[in-house]
Amino acid sequence: MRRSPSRIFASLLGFTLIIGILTACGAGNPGGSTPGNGSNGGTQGTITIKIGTEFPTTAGDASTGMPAQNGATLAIKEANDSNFLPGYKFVQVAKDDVGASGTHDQTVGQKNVTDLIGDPQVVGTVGPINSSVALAEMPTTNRAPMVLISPSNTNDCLTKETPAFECGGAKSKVNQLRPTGKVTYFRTATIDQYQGAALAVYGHKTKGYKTAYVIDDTEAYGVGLAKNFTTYWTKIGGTVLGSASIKQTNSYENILTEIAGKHPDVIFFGGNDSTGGITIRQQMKSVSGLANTPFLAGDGSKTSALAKAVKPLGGGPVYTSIPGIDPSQSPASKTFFDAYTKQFGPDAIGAYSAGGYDDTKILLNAIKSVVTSKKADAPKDSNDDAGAAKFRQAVIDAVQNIQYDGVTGHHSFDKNGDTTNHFISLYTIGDLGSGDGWKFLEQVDTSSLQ
Amino acid sequence: MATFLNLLIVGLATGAIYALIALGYTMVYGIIELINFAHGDIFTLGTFVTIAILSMLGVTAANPPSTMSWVLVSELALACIGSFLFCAVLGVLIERVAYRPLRNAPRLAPLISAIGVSLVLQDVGKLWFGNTNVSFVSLPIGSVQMGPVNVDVINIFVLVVAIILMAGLQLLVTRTRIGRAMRAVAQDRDAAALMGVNVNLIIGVTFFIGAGLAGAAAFIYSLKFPNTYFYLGFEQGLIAFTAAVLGGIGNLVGAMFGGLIIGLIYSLVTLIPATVLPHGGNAWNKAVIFAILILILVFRPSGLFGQNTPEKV
Repeated sequence: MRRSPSRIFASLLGFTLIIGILTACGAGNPGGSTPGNGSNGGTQGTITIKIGTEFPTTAGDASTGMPAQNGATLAIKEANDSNFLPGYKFVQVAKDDVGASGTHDQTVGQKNVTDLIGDPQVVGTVGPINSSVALAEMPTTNRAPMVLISPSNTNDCLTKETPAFECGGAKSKVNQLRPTGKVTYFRTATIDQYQGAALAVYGHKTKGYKTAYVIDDTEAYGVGLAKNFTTYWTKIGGTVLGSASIKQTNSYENILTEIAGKHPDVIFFGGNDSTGGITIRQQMKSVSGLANTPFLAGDGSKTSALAKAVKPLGGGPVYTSIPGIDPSQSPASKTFFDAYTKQFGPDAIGAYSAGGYDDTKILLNAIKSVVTSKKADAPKDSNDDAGAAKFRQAVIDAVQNIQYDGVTGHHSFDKNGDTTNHFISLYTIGDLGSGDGWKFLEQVDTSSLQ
Repeated sequence: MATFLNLLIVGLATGAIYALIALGYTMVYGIIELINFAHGDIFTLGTFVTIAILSMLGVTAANPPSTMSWVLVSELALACIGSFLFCAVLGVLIERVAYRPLRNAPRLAPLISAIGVSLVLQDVGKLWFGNTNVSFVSLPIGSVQMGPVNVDVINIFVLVVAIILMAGLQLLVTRTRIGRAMRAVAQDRDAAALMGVNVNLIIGVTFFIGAGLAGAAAFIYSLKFPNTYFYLGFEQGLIAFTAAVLGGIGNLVGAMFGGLIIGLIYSLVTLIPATVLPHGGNAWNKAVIFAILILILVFRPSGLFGQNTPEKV
């Protein structure tokens, strides 16, 4: 009674399938909490307006998503406390898009926005963190239509067809992402073509690196940023020794060994801390020849998790960027930081705390302008579908025309829904004792770089 | 050339870890003809136990030791023994609880209970260390210059430890009374029982050793790689299983060489330039490994070293 290996293999496939089904079921778990009660529990006659937030707030992405969600929570709390819109009470509906694998998940994200759209009292959503999740959510929110406003999506191709080498020009995804043809998605993060350029300029001009090896994590954000970096790096005279596209894995030792043989001045990584940033930088330390090689990455890797994992190892310097003004450089920042720290503690600050805060305030301002100008009435209750459709459209129009000054600088939106703010801030790992472990270096206005 | 040699060493060291895990699959298959799907997850828990023991001794990733000392070496040895024993006992427990009651049930039953155990172990890991990457301690071990290449001492250490363990296992199976009993049970359980072999005990011992080797592999993994997470064993287990099939499942020597060969392929595929395969060979290493699995199953189902050799356990 020997079992033949082919039957074993069949069992193996079956096993994988079962695991897949089980994890897919588990992924539907809505990890979010809903602060306050959803009903009109407040003062008599107060109308409840719900604001959705959609971030990866647990597991591997908690250090990126939770600070952003906290920022949104703070903005909503302040609006309620200051009676920002008399007669109305704002309630946050928090969703978590972390899937079974422990990082952000497109399927979970899409389910989250579908849930949010299904509740007529939700007038708009702040999020998501990752461009790949936005790709899955945008068609859904666009058809609804409901405004989706992200503090951190930087992939160029979410909103436009250029640059052609990245987005494919006329063959781009814009028409699928915007099936109604109208803009319903906005973002306050400066897009990758500016971030890639700023990182290239910093590495080549400021630091004097001549040769780079480029790795990406195969996701929309990582690939896009890596392409933009590569393009600008060669444009200003740098050399790219090679590139690799590797899906998140537990070991990058092989590729790093190969890279070590090419002796690059710097390794550039397009991706998140959880999709390779941490592991690559950790393993560089133990691959001979790369122990002191500088590591350059975008905003997805500027997290406290990466700083905490890398700082004790020592080794070469790590530089990252954030699309937008560094909050510490803006006049509004002191007030924001004090309020945030008081609410969540000094260690809870993250790259997108201020972004989540500002985006929520942009949404709140838009809602206020719709209500005060009487363009539309807020949906009366959780059955008012007609009212919701009208109000949501009015909010979209109001966001498109907004002029907002906040912690991350001045924001208005161009015809694609992208912010007109083109500042990029650069960081290196600093003192772990305070904040998220990153030290601000400089900020550049990249409007002139392209 | 230096890159090739470096990749060769990296491949051998990674392959040695696969081989240690593959031994557990192949031993269990040899003796009760069950693919122990929980084996990879035992490995994962081994990595967690290693971290837990070291952090109890004050050696943590946030505060890595700056120099090697005898104290540190003894702490590492303690972690290795702890991981071995924890996994070994866990393996015996799993066999007692999930497999033994089903030993005479239809083939599918223990397979499904193995999947169940695998899920339970993953969730234990998730509850224990969370759904996130957990960093290992980075040790202050340098590298040595060997001819044209600069070899990481860890890689040599991994290879040496793995070879000692595998040689020990080979001796145990071929030269001792217990080893002979294991071979007897593997060949014919009923006949072995008639000859006075305590079949339950021998199967228990097999699980003890197989799972213990996964624990040892987990410790070695923690020296070589930067971090772990609760799902790690699934992927590592699949690759190790491929190694076991490559060598001929049920065959100990086959599993050892299968592991090393898979490790080498995994590593050397990196050398394929991007002009041949888009994005370069490294993006394809798992595809290549599983393509090999399919090719073996189609053209040589009994594996490179055959299934029914006298050493079969």
